[in-house]
Amino acid sequence: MIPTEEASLISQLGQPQHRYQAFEQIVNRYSQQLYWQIRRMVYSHDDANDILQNTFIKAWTNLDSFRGDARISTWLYRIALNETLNFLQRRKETAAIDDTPPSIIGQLTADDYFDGDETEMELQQAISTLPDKQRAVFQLKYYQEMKYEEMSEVLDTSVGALKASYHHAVKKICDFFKSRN
Amino acid sequence: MKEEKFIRKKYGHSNPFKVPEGYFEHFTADLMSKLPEYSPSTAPSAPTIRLHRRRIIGYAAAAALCGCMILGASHHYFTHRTIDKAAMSANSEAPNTEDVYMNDVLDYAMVSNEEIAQYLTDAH
Repeated sequence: MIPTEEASLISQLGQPQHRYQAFEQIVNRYSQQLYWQIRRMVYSHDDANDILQNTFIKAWTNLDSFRGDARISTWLYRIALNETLNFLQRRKETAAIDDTPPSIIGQLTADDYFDGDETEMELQQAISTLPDKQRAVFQLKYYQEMKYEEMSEVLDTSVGALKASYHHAVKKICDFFKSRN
Repeated sequence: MKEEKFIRKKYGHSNPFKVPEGYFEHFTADLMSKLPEYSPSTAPSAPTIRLHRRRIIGYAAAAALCGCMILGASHHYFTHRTIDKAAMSANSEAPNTEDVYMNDVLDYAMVSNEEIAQYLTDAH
């Protein structure tokens, strides 16, 4: 069920005279939550900013493909995660060419916009050991507390598979801590 | 799930990542200034066909047309040939028009075949 306010926004997107203002409201409303999801996946602020901008530009240029049968947030998350996963894939391909790909610890330590303590660094390190898609599932559930049903639409994966993926992710993170202590 | 409780208890949900000052306040305005002009044509409409694929389709159409013409011509040729043969065989079985005419004349003159044979024998 799409809330009334969102239904009104969707309707405005279809009207040329209101389209720009409606999209501005959407950017205003969803940019922060999308940013944090992207940022936790790519770690760097600059990369997260680029991906977030690309997400909204893609959404704007493909407004015709949004039929309004899904929530706006679901549609935006889907674009954002596709962009993020593509970015991570490209980064892996580049890292495979480089001799010394940067470690997550090195990357976070050098980041001016990361001020986590040792415990938080340890958690980020554990999360970084997960495969990209499983990492997305873990972060959507753990940090964003997204419902499995919505996650299923975002990631085009069944609810059962997502529950199993999250369960395995949690187990792997715990195993990581155990192996270090 | 026991493991999940352990993680939540030990690490919580704190966000160690930060953003430059004023980032979110300016993000919307910055982004809106970068948006390209909206045009519905930016969305995919009809699928485009690449040039070399068009050429292949053209060749295929020409080949199909030639095939149809050859098939049509051979069908026409063999059909007419069968009709001609049938007509020929039908003609061989039908009585000759000259014979039919002669019989009619003889009937009219009331002369039998035997009388004709006799006449021809006497003439020799």
